[in-house]
Amino acid sequence: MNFRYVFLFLILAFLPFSARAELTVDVTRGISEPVPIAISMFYAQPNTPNRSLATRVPGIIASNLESSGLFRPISAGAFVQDSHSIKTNGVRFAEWRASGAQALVAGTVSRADDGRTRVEFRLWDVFSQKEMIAMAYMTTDRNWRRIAHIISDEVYKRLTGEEGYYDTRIVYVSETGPPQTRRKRLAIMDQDGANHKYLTDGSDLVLTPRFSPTKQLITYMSYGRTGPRVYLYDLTTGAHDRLGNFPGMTFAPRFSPDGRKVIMSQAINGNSDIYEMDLRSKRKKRITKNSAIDTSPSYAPDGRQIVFESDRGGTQQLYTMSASGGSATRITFGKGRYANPVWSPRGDLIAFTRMYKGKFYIGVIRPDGSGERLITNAYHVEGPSWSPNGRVLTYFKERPVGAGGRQRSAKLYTIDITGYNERLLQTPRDGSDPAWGPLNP
Amino acid sequence: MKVPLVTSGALHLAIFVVVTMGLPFAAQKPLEQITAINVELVDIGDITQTTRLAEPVKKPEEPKEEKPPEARKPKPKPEELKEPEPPKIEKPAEKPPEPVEKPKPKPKPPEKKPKLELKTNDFESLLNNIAPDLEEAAPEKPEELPSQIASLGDRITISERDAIGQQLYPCWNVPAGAKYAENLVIEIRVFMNVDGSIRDTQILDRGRYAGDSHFRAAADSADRALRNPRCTPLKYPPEKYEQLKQFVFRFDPRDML
Repeated sequence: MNFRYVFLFLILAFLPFSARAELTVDVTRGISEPVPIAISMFYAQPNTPNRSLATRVPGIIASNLESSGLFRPISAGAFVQDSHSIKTNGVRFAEWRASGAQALVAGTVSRADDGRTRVEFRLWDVFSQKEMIAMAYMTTDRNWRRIAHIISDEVYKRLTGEEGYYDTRIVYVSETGPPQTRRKRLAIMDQDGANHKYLTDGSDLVLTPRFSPTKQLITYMSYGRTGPRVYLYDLTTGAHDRLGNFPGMTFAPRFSPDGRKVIMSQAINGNSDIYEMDLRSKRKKRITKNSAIDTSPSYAPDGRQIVFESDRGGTQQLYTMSASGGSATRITFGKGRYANPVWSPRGDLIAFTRMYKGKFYIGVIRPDGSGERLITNAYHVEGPSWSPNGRVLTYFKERPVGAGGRQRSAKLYTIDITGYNERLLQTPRDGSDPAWGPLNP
Repeated sequence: MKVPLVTSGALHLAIFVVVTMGLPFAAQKPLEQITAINVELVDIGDITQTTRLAEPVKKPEEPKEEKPPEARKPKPKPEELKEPEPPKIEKPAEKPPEPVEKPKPKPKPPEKKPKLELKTNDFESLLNNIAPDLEEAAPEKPEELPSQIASLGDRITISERDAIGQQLYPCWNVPAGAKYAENLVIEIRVFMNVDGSIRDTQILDRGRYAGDSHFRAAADSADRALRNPRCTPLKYPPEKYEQLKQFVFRFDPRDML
């Protein structure tokens, strides 16, 4: 009996397999347009203490998604249902499809049993008529903006496949006054410019703030009594501490991807090299030893490699090397000078500043030196910093203003990695050296 | 007595060796045969059909027609060979400075330029590059969509396949800027009704769809293109419905990045 089955199996296994090849039609071209999305006003249940959240939360979501350049919230006039109708009667997909929306967000605001506010949202794919996400958050009213940012991140992630970047903050240098007595203060704000506040009083000049990718820590350079030094600022305690006791000047600090180390430049007698410091043990390690100027180091997201700028080849170019030292590989060979390299958190690109024929450019290049693209330019544009998902860059542009162009106006901008959707980031005063923080804890 | 025994033992041993060693060698021989390579013969009619479809669009030029164009053709050829080529060689060396000036007027108002200037007509690349020394590349003219799909034979021709794929160009949002977007090639099996509308779709590679958020988002985006009323129902040669009632769309962004 068993032998029969074995025999049958063998016959079936060795039968010639004849499958007809399926016709395949290639689609090799397309468009790059914002996805039309309907973000309905949320439904506020009668017991909701703060009913305005039903309008304000979806308003922030729409603003966030629109700012990415990847979505186009459709006008409320084209809505075919409100959130209450959606909740009670279901989504009328055919009508939403006719409105042009490809995705739909609706939600409900209510009061939870413990008195907190409960915000629930759902995302639908209008064309395939399927629900993509449904989530609820409970919080105090005070955190309503964060809830809106978190929901924006969820929608963004589901529709693009990438982590969102809306529940994040940006630290930067706020600037006021004439060039000779320019006052520079550390300031921090949400990625959309809300909740702005100053971290330093402006008595000391501050430069190049950098956010820790894992903690609420900022490292920056300040001109204190002892000259330019790298400092740490703890956002939770407000404490400022000098980082290490280096002879000479230290500058251009940047955190390691795990947040445990800071890599920076140290200049002694006009020669600068790259050093790494462990934040716990305070032990420092020299990474480069070269008579050339090595500076602006930045870690790869896996922490195994660094990129930095150096003039060891005769002109200022970008190099990569092992984070533990060793030989360096030059990755840029274009005309002009390259500076301020920053490795993308997703690892696929390195952003940089390039100077060529009196103009500044922000560009990106693959870590192997291929695929260089310059994505924006200006009289002076510098200091690129990545959003935590590696999709957006922020930087500052400076232009001459006033009589004879003696004054300078510096503003923060963001741009999509495709090189489109450049946007002004609103700040109360002039701003420079922006640094994008990680997703809020 | 011993001799027959020894002979018998030797023969048995020989048979044993042949059975154990000989057969594997014999079995290997067929493996050495070269596997036949399938070559698909394409009818010349398929190729000529493409030009026939393109010609009606260019008809305005034909009125002059017949022999004069033939007489003129030889003349432009030598000119093209002599004149246009030298400048092409010189341009790369001379022009780099010019592009640097060209972008100037555009970037001047940074607030104006940014507003979602997503290129919809430039199919060359969806990634912006204002590199001063790379701006020489002339944008390719977008291909013209055939106004109608005609057919010459029973089989789906290459031009017919292209014409079906091109109908989705205005609806497929390419995942430009996504991490390793060049790897996000999406295959979707479609089940088409006689009127060209899509009855159902199946995203292939379900394993990757479940585990790779980038792939899932790109696949959903491609699926939306198939359901977008701007691009479906699809136009196709009606007599070839049997071959098109079920087929696979492959969305490949590599040429766009």
